[in-house]
Amino acid sequence: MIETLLALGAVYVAVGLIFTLIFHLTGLSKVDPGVKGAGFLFRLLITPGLIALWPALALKWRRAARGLSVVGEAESPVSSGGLRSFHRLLICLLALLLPLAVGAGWASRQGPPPIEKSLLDGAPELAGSRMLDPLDPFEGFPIDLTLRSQGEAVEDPRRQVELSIAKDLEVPSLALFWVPTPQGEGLSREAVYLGAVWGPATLRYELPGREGGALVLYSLAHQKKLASRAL
Amino acid sequence: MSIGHTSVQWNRHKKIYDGVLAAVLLLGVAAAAVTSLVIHPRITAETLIIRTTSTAALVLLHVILAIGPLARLNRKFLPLLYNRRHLGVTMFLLGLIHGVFALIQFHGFGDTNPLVSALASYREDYNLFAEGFRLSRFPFEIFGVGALLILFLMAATSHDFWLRNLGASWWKTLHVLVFVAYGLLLLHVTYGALQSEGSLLYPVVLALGAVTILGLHLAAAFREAKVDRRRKQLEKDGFVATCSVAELQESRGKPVLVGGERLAVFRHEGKIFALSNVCRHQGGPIGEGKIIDGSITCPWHGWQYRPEDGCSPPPFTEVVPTYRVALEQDTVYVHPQANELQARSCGIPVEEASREGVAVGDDPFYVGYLPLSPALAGPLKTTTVLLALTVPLLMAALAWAQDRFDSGVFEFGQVRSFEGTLYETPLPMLRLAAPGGDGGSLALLVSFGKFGLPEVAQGHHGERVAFDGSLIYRQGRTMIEMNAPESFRVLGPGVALDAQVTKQGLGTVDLTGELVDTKCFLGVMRPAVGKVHRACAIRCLSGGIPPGLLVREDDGRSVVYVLASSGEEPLEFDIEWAGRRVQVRGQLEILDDLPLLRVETLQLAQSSPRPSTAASDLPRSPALESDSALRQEVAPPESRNTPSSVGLQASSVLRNEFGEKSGLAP
Repeated sequence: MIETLLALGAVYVAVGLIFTLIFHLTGLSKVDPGVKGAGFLFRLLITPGLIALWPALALKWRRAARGLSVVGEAESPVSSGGLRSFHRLLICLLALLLPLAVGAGWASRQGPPPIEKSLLDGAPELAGSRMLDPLDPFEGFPIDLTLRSQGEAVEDPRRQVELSIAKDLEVPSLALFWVPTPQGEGLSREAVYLGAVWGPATLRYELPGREGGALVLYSLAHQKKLASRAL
Repeated sequence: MSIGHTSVQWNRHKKIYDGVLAAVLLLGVAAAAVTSLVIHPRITAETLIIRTTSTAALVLLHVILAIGPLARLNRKFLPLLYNRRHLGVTMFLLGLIHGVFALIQFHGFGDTNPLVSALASYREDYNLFAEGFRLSRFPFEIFGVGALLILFLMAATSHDFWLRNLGASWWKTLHVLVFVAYGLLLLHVTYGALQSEGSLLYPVVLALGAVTILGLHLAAAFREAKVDRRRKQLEKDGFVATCSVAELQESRGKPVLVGGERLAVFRHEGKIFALSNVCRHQGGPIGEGKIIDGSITCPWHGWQYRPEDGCSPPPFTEVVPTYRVALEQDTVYVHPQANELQARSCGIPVEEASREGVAVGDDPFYVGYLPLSPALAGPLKTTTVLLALTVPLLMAALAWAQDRFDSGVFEFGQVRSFEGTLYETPLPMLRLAAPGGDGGSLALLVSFGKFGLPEVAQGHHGERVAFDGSLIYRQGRTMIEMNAPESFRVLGPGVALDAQVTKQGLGTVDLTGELVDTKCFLGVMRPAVGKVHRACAIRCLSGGIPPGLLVREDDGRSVVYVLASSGEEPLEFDIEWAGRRVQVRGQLEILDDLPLLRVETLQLAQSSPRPSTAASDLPRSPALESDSALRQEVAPPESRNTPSSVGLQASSVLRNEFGEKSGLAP
């Protein structure tokens, strides 16, 4: 139904456009002698109304063509009582209905969905690991870096890096790599992919080497190394 | 007056009026825009325009609607009425800008005519009783469209040409519809923005505004009704007794009731005249006017009529009816039958005795084209200063009260080259491999506008391709808008998805959240949730943008899970569920860096009233508590209490997508 109404509206406006063009050329001065000498800006100002209300102007034009008066209501006294009653009625209706409609809409609004447990944070801490001294953060990134190690109590100790990220890093396809030695701009074939990095989140990745190496932040979408930190 | 039409009949007062209007409005818009930019540095220009213009239009509408009754109740406000027309047209233009930008942003660039989208995106919700009675789901756009149409008709006919050619009664009736537009706009705001915005400032300001406007109009209307109330009047030879001569001030009018209609009785230079009380211009109350230079002058816009024949002084051509007057003793009688137009009634002489001690009306009277009376200048300046202070402050406060939203990035206009393996299932995406070959990232693929994978890229599943596009990203999810499809080329066979993508299964989960379109959520639109964005999300999902489930998490974050079917076929669901709360059960898996929820069931969640925001009061997903497979894969709750995460929780500043404060620093 809405499509049909819009189509009818489009036809009405199209007819209005054609009418307005013709009316400006030949009808306007016949309907209202006051337009004689009026400038282009005046004609422009009344054009939207002509397009919207063209049937009213078409009727007046027809009256003018028949030699009938087109001055409007000048022939009879204008009543204002009816308008005041209409105004009063509208205001009373609004005062009654508006609080109901607005209040009901406000009261029935849907709240946020229930809270769910976070599922996407990183792996758990390594069993039996202890936290080493915090690392300096990556330059320019709000990431707290912590290194954990299982230490000497374990025969083959493992290391884990924890990234606490406070907010969206606003970097596309950001990944964390471990490299055995710090290197230049790119990533060598020795680079080991640890995982994706995003925020806000707490992420933990196990390091492949027992000692040393460096961490590299690399954007796979920008194909750019963004930061590195020696371990 | 109507000697001939001009575009605008400028005079000094109108120029000052418009200058003050422009200054106050610019201050208000600047205050709102700067505040929005401070709290949302990444707000898009379209959103800024949509929000700022709507606030300005609504504030201005309140000012406009207050002027009429204020001027009726106190003449000192008449200078504000003088050029109210320009306020109205300005307000309509602001509303039009708001509407056009909203139409483009939320409904344009999709698979449906934007107007159809605006009026019928979620047409099922026009039925208030579908899926249980819920008013808040009713489409809000239609209220805005209705209001804008009325305001358009009013603005388009805001020229004296239309007063003359439609006739005062029709013109005035059309313009009284502003109250309908006002009601529609309040509904538009309540059923739109207020469904998502959490601040109480909005309903409080709206309620205060409505109480003020309706209160002023009710006071004015009932004062008028008291005057109009029919009471028994003495009649003599068809003449009706109206008032005593002593009640008439020299050169001032008095509205009187004759035969149920108001007429204006004037006393001037020893004679009493009666005319219609309705000005030919905008129906102003002539009886409240004053005789200036021998002509009765309407208090609204200064149109003039000669008391003896009701004609405007030459060269003007307006004429109002005159009425016969009779005097008996001290009582003024008026005949309810109007004289023939332009007939000289000449008035009736007042007896000498009654002329003595006649009061002279000296209260301030405003005529726009005459110098301003000093008695009116003070109140006018005070009102102007008050408006200049309150409008910008109010607009800034309303902007400050907006729910905060996370940013997301859309590299609009920045085209990059991409190369990787294209997959069409489970969703259209490109795998970006690390330079060393170890690891990679999956970027979702969409087209320009509200469309999914472009046609040129379809049918190339598993092939290595290259193309140009722009990045969209947020919270680790990446999307590429393939806005240069002509650059698409196939480089050769790629590697099967299972062979190169890291896949981590997290088991079956039940999640409840808002169904969103991922393109807007990841950064194209900020914010991209809630009812205001619902029609846009419907268009995006209809056009093939991958759906997402926006979930509120226990640490205050909002996270989006990309949804795909559990099989190879596209995910089936009702797109009108976009922007609504849904329950999803499915297998959660992480492909490289992309969390994907392979949907087994997707249904509308049970509606509930707005809950408390205390986390402990809110239901949790039972499946999460019981799913053993999930516990093996996901970090146990105690692991979250690391020193660093505790530290994060202490810095609570940010709000999430649902307008709540998050435990995470901005």
